[in-house]
Amino acid sequence: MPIRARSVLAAVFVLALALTGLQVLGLAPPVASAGTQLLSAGVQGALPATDPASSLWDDATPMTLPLSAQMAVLPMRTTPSTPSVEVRSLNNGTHIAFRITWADATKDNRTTLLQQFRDTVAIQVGDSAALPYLCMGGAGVRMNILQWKADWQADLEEGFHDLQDAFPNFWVDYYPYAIGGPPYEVPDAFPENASQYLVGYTVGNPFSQPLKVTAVEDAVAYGYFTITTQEHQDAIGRGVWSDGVWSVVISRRLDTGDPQDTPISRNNVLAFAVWDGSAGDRGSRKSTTTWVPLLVIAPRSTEIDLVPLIILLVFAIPILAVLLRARKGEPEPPKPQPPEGKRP
Amino acid sequence: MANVWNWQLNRSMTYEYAESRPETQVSAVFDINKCIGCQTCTMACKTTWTSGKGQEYMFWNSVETKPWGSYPMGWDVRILDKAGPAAWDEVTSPPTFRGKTIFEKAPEGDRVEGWLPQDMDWAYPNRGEDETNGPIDDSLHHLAIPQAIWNFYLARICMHCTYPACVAACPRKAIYKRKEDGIVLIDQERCRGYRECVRACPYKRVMYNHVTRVSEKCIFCYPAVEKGIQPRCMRNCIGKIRIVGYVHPPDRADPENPIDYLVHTTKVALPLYPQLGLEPNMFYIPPIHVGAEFLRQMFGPRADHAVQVYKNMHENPGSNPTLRAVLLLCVSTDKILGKFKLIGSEAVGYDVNGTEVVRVPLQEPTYTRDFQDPAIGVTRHNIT
Repeated sequence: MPIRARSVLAAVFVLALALTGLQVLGLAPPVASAGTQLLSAGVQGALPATDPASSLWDDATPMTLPLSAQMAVLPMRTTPSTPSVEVRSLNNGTHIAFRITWADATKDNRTTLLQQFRDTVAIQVGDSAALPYLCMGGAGVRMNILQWKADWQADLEEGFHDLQDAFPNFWVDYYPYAIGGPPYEVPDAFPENASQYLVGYTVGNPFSQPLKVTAVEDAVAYGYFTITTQEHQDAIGRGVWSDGVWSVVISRRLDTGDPQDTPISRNNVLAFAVWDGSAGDRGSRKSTTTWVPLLVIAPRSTEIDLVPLIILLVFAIPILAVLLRARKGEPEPPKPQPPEGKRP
Repeated sequence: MANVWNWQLNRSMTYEYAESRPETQVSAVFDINKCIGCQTCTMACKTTWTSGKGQEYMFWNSVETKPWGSYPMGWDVRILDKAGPAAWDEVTSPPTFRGKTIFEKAPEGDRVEGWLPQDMDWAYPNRGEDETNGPIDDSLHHLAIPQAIWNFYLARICMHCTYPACVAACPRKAIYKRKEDGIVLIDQERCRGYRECVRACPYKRVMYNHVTRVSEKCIFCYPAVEKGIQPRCMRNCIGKIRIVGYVHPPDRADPENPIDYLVHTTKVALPLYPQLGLEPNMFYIPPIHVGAEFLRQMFGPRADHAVQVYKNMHENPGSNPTLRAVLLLCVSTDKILGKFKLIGSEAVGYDVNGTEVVRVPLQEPTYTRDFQDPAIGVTRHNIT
C-alpha cells in the first residue's frame, strides 16, 4: 500500500506535538543529546549539594571528559596529571549541583608544609553567547570559577591545620602580643596587635584565613592569572577521597543574583580543571577539559506551566483545522461499478 | 619574553618583562672582610619582621659560614649545578658572560630554572658554622694570603634584583618591584601560595609561611627607607660591614655616591653569582684571605681585581684615602647616604637630600692615660 505524503506529515506533526507536550511537562529533554552535552537532570526537592555518595546521582547522566595538560601559558604542565574526569549534574529548578569524579592515588589536603600542594577541582562557567578563551577568559571577558580545595575542606571539617599539627614536636615560648600559652592556637591567641604578625591573615587574604566558610572558592577572572576571590561567596561543596578516587560535589544557585557570577540557564558552557597536589600542580600547572555545553533539564513539575501549552494550542488548532478541512474537500474515490448485466 | 640589558653580564638577556629600571635602586655593600658572624643582623631582622607564628624557620637576613654553610641547605651548589659552569669572556672589558642565565636555561614548561626546597632544607640555618674549607693539619697556614685553610661569613638578604626571578616566576603578578626605590615586595593580599617564587629565586630569599600559607620575603625595611633610615639589619651591624645607599647602572654612576664608588669606580664590590642573570643589587667586597678560584666562582671574573684593590688599601694606608673614607662610613650613621666626600682627613657622609649626617676621621685620635690616677684613686685596665 503506498504511503501518502499527507499521512507522513500528520504523523510527524502528532509526534512533535507529543514531544513538545512531554517537554513542557518536564518528562523529556528539550533536544536529544549525543554525548556532546552535559545534561543536568531535573529532580524535585533538595539536591545532594554536599553529598557525592547520594543515590540521587544515579539519576544523572555521566559524562567522561578527557583532560589535557595546560600548555598555553608558562608555567605549564607538559603532560596531564589526571587523564579524565567523570561529571554528573543535577538541578531542581533553583539550584544546580555537579559531581566530579577522578582517579588520584594520593589524598593531598594539606598545604601547611612548604612541599605540600592541594588537590583541587574547578568548574569554569561561561556563556556560549560570547564564548571566551578557555583559560580564565580574557581581557574584558568575565569568567566565573568555582574552585573546590581539599585543604579548605580539611580546615572546615577538622579545624585549622595549625603549625603544631604539622610539627607535633614544635614548641614556642612566646609570640609578640599573643595571648594564652603554647602552642598559641590560630586565630584565638592572636587578637589585635598579635595578628599583625600574621600578615596574610590580617590583610584578609582568603588563603590565609584559618576559619574557612566554604570549601569552594567562588572566584572571578578576566584573563590569565587574574583569578580573584569574590566578595560574595555563593558556592558550597564537599569531596570524598576513597580508594584512590576523589568524588567532589560543587553546587550553587542557578542564578545567584551576584553580578560577578555567571547565571546558569540554557546557554552555558563549562570547563573543568583538576590539580593533583602530589604532582606539584598549582596555579597554571593543571589539567583541563575543553568547553562542554551544559543542558539544564527542568525538573518534573506537578504544576503544569500553561503558557507554553496555550501557545502550542494556538498554533496547533489552526493547523489541525486546515488539515481536517483539506481531508473533507478531497474527492471521494470512485465507487466500484457492478458488472454489466447485473444492473438491478 | 623581552630582551633586557644586564650590565653585570655586559650583554642583553631574555627576561619575562621588558626592561623597566626603577627611578632609584636601593643597594648595599657588604665588606666580608669585616664580618665576624655575630648574627646581630639576623636577630635584628628576626625580631622585627619574622617573629610571627608560621615564620619560625624564616631568616630574611642570614649569615652563613662559607664554604659549607648554607641556608637553605645547599642553595648555592644546587642552583650552580643546574646552571652549569659560568663561561666568562675576559677578552672584553668588562668581561662578558657567554653562558646561559637561569631565565635562558628555563626547562620546558617553566619560566625560570630553579628548584623548590623542602622544609628540612630550611631546618639548619647555618650548618657548617665556623668549619674551615679543609682539615687543619700542623702547617702554619695563616702566614700566607690567600690562606690554605680558610672560611668566611656571608651575610645575605634579598638582593632586590633588577631582574628578579621571583617577579618573573609569579604567574599572578603578585610580586612587584617598586618604581620609586626598586624594593621587591610580595602583595600579601594577592598571593595564592603557589610557591613559584620560592622555586625560582636562586638565592632562596622567598619563604613560605606555614600558617598564612602564602609566601613572604625581605622588605628592605621599606617603612624606614621611606624616611631615609637604613634597614634594621644594616644599622645594627656590630662589625660595621655594611654601607647602604642607592646604586646606578654604570653609565649613570656617580663617583660621589658611596655605592657607585665601590661598585663602579673602584670595582671593589661585586655582585653574588652574577652569571645567574638577575642583576642583584647587593654587593660584596670579597674576603682577601680566601682562595681566588672560590671567589671567582662566587663573584665572577673581577674577584681577583677586587681583592687586589682591597689588599693595596690595607697594605698602603695612604694609597687610597677615598676608598678608606667610604668604608669608614659603613654603619657610622643610621641614615642612608646619598653622597660622600673626603674633606681633609675626614670622611663626610650626606643623606639623599644632601644634608651632612656624619663625619668620621680617617685616623681615630688616640689618647693614652696613666695606669694610676691619683686624683680619683683608681688603677686602669685600659689606658688607650
